[in-house]
Amino acid sequence: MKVVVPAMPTTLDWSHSDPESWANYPVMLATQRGLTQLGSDHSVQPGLAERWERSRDADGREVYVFHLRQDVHWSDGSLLTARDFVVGWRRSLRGRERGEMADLEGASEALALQERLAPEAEVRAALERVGVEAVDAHTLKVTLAHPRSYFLARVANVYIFYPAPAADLEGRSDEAVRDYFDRPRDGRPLALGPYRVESWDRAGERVRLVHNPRSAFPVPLDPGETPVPVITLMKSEIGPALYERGRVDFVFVDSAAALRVRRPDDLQREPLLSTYYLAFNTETPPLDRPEVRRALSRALDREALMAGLLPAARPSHVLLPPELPGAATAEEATRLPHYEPERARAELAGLAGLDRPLRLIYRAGDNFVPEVAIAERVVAQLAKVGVQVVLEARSDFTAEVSRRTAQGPRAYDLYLRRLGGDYAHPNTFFTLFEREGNHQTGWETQGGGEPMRRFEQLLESADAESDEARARASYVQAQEVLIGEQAVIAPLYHPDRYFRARDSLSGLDVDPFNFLALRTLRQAAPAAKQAEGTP
Amino acid sequence: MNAIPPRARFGFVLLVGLGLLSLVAGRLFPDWLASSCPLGVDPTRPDRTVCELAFGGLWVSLAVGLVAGALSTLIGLVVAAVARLAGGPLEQVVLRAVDAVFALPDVLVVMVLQLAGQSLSDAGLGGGLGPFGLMVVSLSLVGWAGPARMFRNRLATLEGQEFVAAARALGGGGLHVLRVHLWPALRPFALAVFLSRLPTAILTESTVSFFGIARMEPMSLGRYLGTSYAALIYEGGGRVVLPAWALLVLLVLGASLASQALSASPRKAS
Amino acid sequence: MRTVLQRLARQLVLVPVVAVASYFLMAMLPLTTESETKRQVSPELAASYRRDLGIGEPLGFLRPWEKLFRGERLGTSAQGITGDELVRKLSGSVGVGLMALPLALAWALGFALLRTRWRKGRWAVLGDAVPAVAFGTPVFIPALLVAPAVVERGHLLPELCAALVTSLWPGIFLGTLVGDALETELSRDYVRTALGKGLAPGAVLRRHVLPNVMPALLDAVGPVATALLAGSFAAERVLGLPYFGQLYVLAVLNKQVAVVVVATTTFASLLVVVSLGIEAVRYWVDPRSREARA
Repeated sequence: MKVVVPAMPTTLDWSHSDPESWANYPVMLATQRGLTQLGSDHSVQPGLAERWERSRDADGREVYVFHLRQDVHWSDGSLLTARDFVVGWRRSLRGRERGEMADLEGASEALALQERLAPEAEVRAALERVGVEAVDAHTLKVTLAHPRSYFLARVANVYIFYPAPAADLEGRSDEAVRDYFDRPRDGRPLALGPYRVESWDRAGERVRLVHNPRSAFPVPLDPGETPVPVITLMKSEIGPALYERGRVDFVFVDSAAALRVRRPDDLQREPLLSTYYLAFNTETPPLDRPEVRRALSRALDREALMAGLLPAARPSHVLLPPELPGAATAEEATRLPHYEPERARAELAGLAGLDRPLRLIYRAGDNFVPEVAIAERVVAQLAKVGVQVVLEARSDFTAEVSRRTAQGPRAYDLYLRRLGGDYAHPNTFFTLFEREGNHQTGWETQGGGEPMRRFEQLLESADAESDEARARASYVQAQEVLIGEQAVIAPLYHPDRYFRARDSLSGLDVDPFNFLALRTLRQAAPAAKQAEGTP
Repeated sequence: MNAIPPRARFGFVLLVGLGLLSLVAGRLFPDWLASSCPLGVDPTRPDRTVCELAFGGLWVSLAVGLVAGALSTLIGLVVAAVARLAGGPLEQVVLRAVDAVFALPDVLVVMVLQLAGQSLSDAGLGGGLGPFGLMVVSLSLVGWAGPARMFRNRLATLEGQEFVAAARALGGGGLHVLRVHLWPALRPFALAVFLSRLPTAILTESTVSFFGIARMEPMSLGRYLGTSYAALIYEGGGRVVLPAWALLVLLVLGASLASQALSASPRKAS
Repeated sequence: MRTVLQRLARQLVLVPVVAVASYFLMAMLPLTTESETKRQVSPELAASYRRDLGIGEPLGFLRPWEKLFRGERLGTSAQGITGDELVRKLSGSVGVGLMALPLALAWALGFALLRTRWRKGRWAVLGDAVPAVAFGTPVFIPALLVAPAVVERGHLLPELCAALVTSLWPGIFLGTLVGDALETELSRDYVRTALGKGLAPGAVLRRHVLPNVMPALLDAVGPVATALLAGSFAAERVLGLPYFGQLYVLAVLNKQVAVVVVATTTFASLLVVVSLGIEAVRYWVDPRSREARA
C-alpha cells in the first residue's frame, strides 16, 4: 500500500516536535494515541483513559484525574503507565512546540525560564513542578492553571500530549533520545496505535509503517477486510501520474495544473477547518495604525482573489470557518472589514507613509493553497488603491517570519499564512494570536497592550465558560477585536483539500484538520489471499 | 566580417535574435505579449501567460548567462595571465587550484555556494546581492577554471611562436608582450571561450533552480522549467514546458555554434 | 616512474583541497548567533552545526571525519546521516553511473559513426544540431518524460532509465570528439592502404582505426564521468531513486552543513578514483603514454 504525501515528516519525535508539525501528523495519528479520542461528530470519547474526573481546587485551578485503561500495551508488549505521560509531557515542555503546553499548571514558569536561557538545574526543577503527576501506575493527575473547556478535545488530537515510552527513554542522553525516535530500528520507537514506524529513508523520502498487532486500538474490520500489513508514505513530484497508472493508492491533488486540466471521477474534496490570511506587521509604520490595516483589508476583493484558481473555493473575511461550532453568524460577520473598495480608497487617501513599498513574504514552493497566484493578486488589488507591494517567496518562511533584525523587530510588512484548526473548537483559531502565540504581528504592542489584554480576557472567560451560548458570544467578541477593531490580519479564504483514493481501501481519508487519517485503514482482502489466510 | 565562418554567423544571429526578441516581447511590450499569447495561461500562475513567463525567463537567463559568462571569462583570463607572467611555483599552484575547481561538477559547487550565499544574505551579510547577483557570483566562482586553463594553454602555445620570441629578444617586458603581441591573437579565442561559457552558465542555473535551491526572482528560464515541469505529466501540459525548453535549446544552439566555429578557426581569424 | 607518481599526487591532492575548502566555507556561515531571537535556523540545527563542525576548536576541520569513522551521526537526528548510510547511498549512485557509462559509450560510437556518414550528405546539419539539442536539454526533462512510466516499477527499471537519460548528453559529447578523431584517422594513408589491399571496411575500422581513436576517447571519459554523476542528481530526484544525489540535494536544502562537507569531499574522492582508473586504463591501452613516461 503506497500513499503519496506532500511532505516528509520533519521529525518522528512527537514530544519534541517541530513547528512544521502538520507534516508529521499522519504518522503520529496512525502510530500513537491520546488520553481521549474524537468521535465522528468531534465529540470527546475515551482513549487511553477509560474515564476521568474533573474538578476545581481551592485556588481555582482545574484538576483532571485520568484513569488509564489497563490493557494498553506498547508494541513491544510492555504496559502503558502513567509515568509514560509524565516523561512525555516533560519532554514536550522542552520541545519546539512547548508553547502548546502552556495551559498546564507551572508550565508558564518553565517556559519563561527557557526563554531567558536559565541554568539547566533551574529548568529541571521547574519541570518537576509542572502539573502532571503519576498517582499510581494507572492514574494520572493533571492540573491546569485555569479552567479550560477545550482541554479534553485538545489531548485527543495534539500529538505532543501523547505518552512517550518512559522505560526506553529514561537514562538516555538528549541526542540518544532524539535518535531513538528519528532513526527507527529494531521495532523502536514503540507504538500504541494500529501501525508502527519501521523505517524512514530520508534520501528516498519514504516512511514505512507496519501493522502493529499488539495495539489496543485495532483497525475496525468488516467481514472480508484485513488490515494493511505495510504502508509506505512517500513523496513524489509526479504522484497523480503514478496514481493514474495504479502504482500508488492515495494521492493528494494539490497542483492547480492537475485540478484544472481534467477532473478525475474519484476526486474527493474535504473542506478544512482552516483559514488562509494576510497578516500585518503592526510594529512598523504605516501599518502600525489600525485604520490603515482595516482599509487594506477592505481593499481586498476575496471573491476575485480566488476566482478560477480551484474547482471550488470559500472566500471569506472571517477567521472562524462557518462550519465550526460557535462561528460568527452572517450578521456578526458583516460588522468585520470586508471588500468595500470605495471606502478603502477614501480611507487611504488622506494617510501619510504609504509611499513606501510594502514587503510581502510568503512560503515558496508548491502547496495546496495556490499561494503564488494569491500573492500576485494581492499585489495587483492593493496597487489599485495606491499601495505598492513587493513580493518575496521564502523557502525559509518560518525562520524569516520570526526573524528579528537590527533595524526593527521584523523585516517584512505583510505575510501570507494558513492557520488550521487542531480540534473542532473556536479556541484553536485564537491561541495563535495570544501574547505567547507565534502570530509574529507584534500586535501585543498596539495601544499600549490594552487591546491584547481585552482580547485575552475575552478568551479567558470564553475558555472557562461552561455555557455554550455565552462562550460563543465571547469568542465572537474576541474575533471582532482581532479582525475588526485591530485588523491584525485580513482573512482571505477557507482552504479545501482534494485527494484521490482507491475504492478497495476503506478508512483512508483526510479529516477537516487536514490530516491524512490512517487509523482505520483496511483493505478488502483479495479472494485468494483470504483463503490462504484462514487456518 | 568575411573571416567569420557561416556557422558562427548563424549562431550569432540566433543569439542576438533571441536577445532582441526577449527584450522586445518580454520587456518593451509585455502587455501585447500577454494579450496575444496563443499558448494560454500558466496553470500555477493563472494571471500570467506562458509566453510572458517564457520570454521573461529568457531575458533573465540570458542576462545571467552573459554576466556570469563574461565575469568567469575575465577571471579566467586574469588568472591565466598572472600565472604565465609569474611562472614557476605560482603557476603550478594556480594550475592545481584550477584542477580542483574543474574536477567537481558545476552544479554541485553552485549548490554549495548558493547555500553559503543564501545563509549569508539571510543574516544581512549578503552585501546587497539579490538572488540574481548571488547566482551570477556563484556561477562565475565556478566557471573561471575552464577558461583559465584554456587561456593558459593558449598563452603557452603563443609564447612558443617566433614573433613572441623576437619581441622578447628585442627587450619587450612580460606585460608589454602580453598587451601588444599576445592579446590581439587571443581576442577571437576569448570571444569563443566566453560563448562556450554562456550555455554552461544558463544550464547550471536551470538545474540548480530545478532543485529548488536557487530563488531567482523574476523567474529565469530554468526556474520556470523547474517550477512548472510537473505540468508535463498532465494532459496538455506540454504547451507549458515545451516553449521554455525550446527557447533554452535555441539559446544553447546559438551559443555553441558560434563558439565552436570561432574556436575551430583561430588561424583564419587571426 | 617519477612522472607517474607526480600525476598520481596531482590527482590525490584534490581530496584534501576540497575537504578543507568546503569545511571552511561551511564554518564561516552565520548559522549560529548568540541571541536566540536572531537565529535563523532551528536550535537542533545550530547545535549540530557547532557539534559536528567543531567550531572554535583546534583541528576542528577533522571533527566531521572523526564522527563519521566512529559511526556517529552527522547533522540533526531527523535529517542527518551516518557513515554507513553515506556509503550505501553512494554505492547506489555509482551503480547507476556504471550502468550509464557503457550506455554513453554506445551513444558515442553510434553518434560518431552516424556523423561521419551524415557529413557527406544533406544531413550534415544534424551533426551540429543533435549535440546542441542534447546539451541544451537539462537532464530533468527527459527524466520527466519517462518518469510516469517507470517510477515505482521496481526491477531496477527506474535505475536503468536514470542511466539512460543521464548518458544522453555525455554520450553525444563523447561522440563528437570520437567523430572528429575518427575522421582524422580515416583520412590517413594507412587506412587507404588497408582498404586498397582489399580489407573489409569493418575490419579496417575494428583492427586499425578504433585502437588509434581510443586515446581521444579516454581523454574525454574523465569529464564525461563527472557529467554522468552530476546528471544523476536530477535524474534521481525525478525518478525517486534514494541515492547520493538525493541525499546531497536534501542536505543542501535542509542546511545539514556537516553532511555537505563530508558528501562533497566523498564525491571529489570518487572522481579522483575514476580518473586514476582512467590513467590505469590509458597506461594499459595506449603504448604512447607508456613511452612518454619512460
